[in-house]
Amino acid sequence: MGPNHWIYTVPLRLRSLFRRHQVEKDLSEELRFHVEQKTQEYVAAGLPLEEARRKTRREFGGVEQAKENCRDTRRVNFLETLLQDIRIGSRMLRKSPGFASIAVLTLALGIGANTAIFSVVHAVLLDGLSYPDAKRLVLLNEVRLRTGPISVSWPNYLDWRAQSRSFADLAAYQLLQYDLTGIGEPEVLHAAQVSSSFFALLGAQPLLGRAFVRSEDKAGTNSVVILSYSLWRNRFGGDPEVIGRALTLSGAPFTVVGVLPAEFEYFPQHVDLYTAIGLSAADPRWAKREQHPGIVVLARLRNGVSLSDARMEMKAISERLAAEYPEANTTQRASVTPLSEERFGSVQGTLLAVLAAAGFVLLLACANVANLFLARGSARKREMAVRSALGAGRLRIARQFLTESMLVAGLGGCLGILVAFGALQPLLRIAPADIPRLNESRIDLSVLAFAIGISVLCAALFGIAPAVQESKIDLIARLKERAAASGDSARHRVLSGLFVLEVALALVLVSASSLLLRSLIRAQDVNPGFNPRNILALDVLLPVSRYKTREHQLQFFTQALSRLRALPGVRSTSAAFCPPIVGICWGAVFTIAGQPIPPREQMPGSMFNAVFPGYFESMEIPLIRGRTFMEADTATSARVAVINRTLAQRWWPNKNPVGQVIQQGFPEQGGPQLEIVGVVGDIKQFGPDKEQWPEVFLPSQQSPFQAMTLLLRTEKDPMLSSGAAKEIIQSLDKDLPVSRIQPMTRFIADELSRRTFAATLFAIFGGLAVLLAAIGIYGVMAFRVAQRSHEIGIRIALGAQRRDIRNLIFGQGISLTLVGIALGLGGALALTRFISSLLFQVSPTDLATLTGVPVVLLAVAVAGCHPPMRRALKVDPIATLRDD
Amino acid sequence: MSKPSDLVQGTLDLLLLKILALEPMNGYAISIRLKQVSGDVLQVSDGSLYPALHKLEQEGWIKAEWKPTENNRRAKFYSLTRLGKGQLERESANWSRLSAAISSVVKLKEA
Repeated sequence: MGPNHWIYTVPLRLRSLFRRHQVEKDLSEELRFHVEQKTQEYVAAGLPLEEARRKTRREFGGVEQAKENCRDTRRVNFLETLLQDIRIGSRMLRKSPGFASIAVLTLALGIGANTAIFSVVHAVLLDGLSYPDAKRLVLLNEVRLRTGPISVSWPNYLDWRAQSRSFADLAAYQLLQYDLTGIGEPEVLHAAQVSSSFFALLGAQPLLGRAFVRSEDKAGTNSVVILSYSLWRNRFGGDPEVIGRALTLSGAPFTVVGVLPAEFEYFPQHVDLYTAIGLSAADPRWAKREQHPGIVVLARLRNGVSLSDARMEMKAISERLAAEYPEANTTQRASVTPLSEERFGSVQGTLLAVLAAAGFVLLLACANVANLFLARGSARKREMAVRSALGAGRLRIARQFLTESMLVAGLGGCLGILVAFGALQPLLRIAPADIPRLNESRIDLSVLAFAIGISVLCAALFGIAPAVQESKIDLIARLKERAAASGDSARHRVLSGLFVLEVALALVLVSASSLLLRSLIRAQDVNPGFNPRNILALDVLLPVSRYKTREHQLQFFTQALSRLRALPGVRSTSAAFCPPIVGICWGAVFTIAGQPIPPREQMPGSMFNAVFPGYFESMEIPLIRGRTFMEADTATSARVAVINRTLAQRWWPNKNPVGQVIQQGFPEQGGPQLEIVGVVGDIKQFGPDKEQWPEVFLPSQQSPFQAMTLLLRTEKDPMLSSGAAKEIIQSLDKDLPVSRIQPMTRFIADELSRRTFAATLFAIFGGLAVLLAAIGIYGVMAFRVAQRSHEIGIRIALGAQRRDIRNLIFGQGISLTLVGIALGLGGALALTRFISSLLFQVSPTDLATLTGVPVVLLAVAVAGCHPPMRRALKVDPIATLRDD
Repeated sequence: MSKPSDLVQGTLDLLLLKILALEPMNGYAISIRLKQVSGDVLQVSDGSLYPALHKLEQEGWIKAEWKPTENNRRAKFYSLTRLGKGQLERESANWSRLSAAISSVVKLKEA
């Protein structure tokens, strides 16, 4: 047959497809012509008109049938019958609006939830790193065994740059803050000092001006600054002539040399501007190899170099440097971590778990819709039998069903997309703010493709079973009235299977929800070590340019604290360098006087903090031994320290540490000798659900800093005092910006926000799961009872008591539920380990949960079986027997 | 009405192609001609004629055209295509072979 064939057939088929109406008209006319000719012939032969007509008709043998056969020969069938199926399908669905709307709504919920969450997953995880070749980006850090990552020292960075071969390029950066003054209101800006290779590594081209050049990586550089897009718009009005403009940052003059494009985003916390790292390279402290001022190194692996290759090389380089500079480098090693892992490692678990939970809900929704289809299929048995008798093949009928499933899935999908649109904003609002790129979640093309994909999957899931089932037709049995015939046993099996599946799915999901909820409650109940209620925190950073000496800085804060104390509604005030929950303290090793100095790798380490007198009292941190700081602990009096319980128990387990002397830092650094004067209770420095670290407190008078967090304990709602507090600061120094004024309880909530997010979503999904399972259970049992009403009638007629009927129906429901529970428990035991990273003080195989949830589901099953059972009891045996 | 001889599946195609090879005509005329030529032995039921014609059209062996008849009525006239000619030859050959085979079996003398 070849291409010649097509010249004739293709136009024909296209015509059939697109000009159906005309084609139908032609067909009718062609056959009519034949009928008329024949009739005329008979009339001409002498028959009366009516009889001639009748004879012709009879001889034709069924004009409609002939037409149908003609139509069948047209082989554009697929598309044409599809359209026909769709038309029939939609008509059928319109005829049973109840069924259609429940099915579509159920699906819309499931698809909507999944789509909304997928849009977040897509923005955060999939789209996450939008830099060119992002997979090869890694972060380098120095890690000390006892203390953890300690950031990189500048000489080490330079040596790494010179000696390593694994990287195409390396860049160094550190985060810091500047006071912007001279342009409108003074503001604290978040900034990053970066080396010249930084923007190139991330493939960023400046929108205006230029990036930093090599010469600006060295000491003695110009004070140049690159603005972020948002700062350029907000503070400089998007001025196209901004290049060359002068700025004052923390008292020092800078010149704008570039502006970055809007889409550039690297740091999780938004950075307003970038300065050259050469500025700090000039700092003599940076030249010291043992100083770790907070530099992070970003690098790109060379093509062909794997992560493990790079790690091995860096290990060798670290060892070489440690041998060369033993005092500075022996205790640390280089670490190489992929950027994606650093960024998303922690978020990934949460988001994927939530997506999985949404997937479970969708499966439940599909099971329910499959239930509906099966029940309906049985109601349409007669219709299918007639179709079959009229000549529809099995494939045709199955296709009909599939088309209906597709229609329901399609409608459900469209509605689901609308649901997703509506649910996205509330979802983002309860999501933890520290998830990178969270607010870029959108319903875009890929998310829509996902929605369509899962809709099709759903259609397949709940469409295939009924399609296969209902197309198996035993005509004789079907056309008889009796229901208890063909297909029912298979249908019953499928329905039982769905029942069990729904119970199992609900059990797994509700167990996971319960575990997460309990973890959240536990985390919220953790004693943070102080009283967080009614505390207002303000961050103040004094620019070194105007507060050059430590004494000046100390004086400012002392004055500020006493003025703040005088405010009405403020009960007490204090300040800390590193406030609880959110502060980042500095870590150091220390040595204990009177004890042999251990080798460097085994030296004790601790967090160090500087606080004003009255801190422990104001924060209500319990004093366990000795005393806290007093006014008498001045810059000139003996150096003292207060330690926390963890530190005391670790190094003086059975002794009183008060009176002991420790020295901060390595011995050769010559730090001050600190006498321990008190032991206080532990504070959860990193968050209620995080590890407890040892902590050493120093009095601010002896260890002043230019950046402190002021803490006010108020009588009532802390935010009420925020305006007045800010005014007092401004009155002391009008150019001083105050950043981050928040109540302490907000910090705790933010720390727990990821947990809260996961627990909330799982709770919502768990609730939905129970609801869907309950509906499913009810549906299956109701159907069962309806199907078996005949049998029940007979039983009653034969003497069965109410109790027997109850046991019959109930027993079936309960036994299916128990099977589902068993399956679900197995699933829960297997799957909950995947959320173990989200759990807190609760085991993934928590006994209380695994016994409590099945009981709940059993109760739900009983409730679901109850109405059908009542209906079974009401069966009138005489009526059903008569229906036979 | 006497039952028409059961036509072996596929031979209807052959007949139709042959008739149309002689001259183009409409469906009604084909049924008349078929009766005429076969001496009333071969009668295609009208209900099977048209599906067969449409199938031949779908295969590309005949093509259709709406033309006025002698009475100026519009009717669909079929004619053989070039492809159809080839198909006709093939089918004729098949038929010859088949009928020859049947004849030789039928002519077997009883033993």
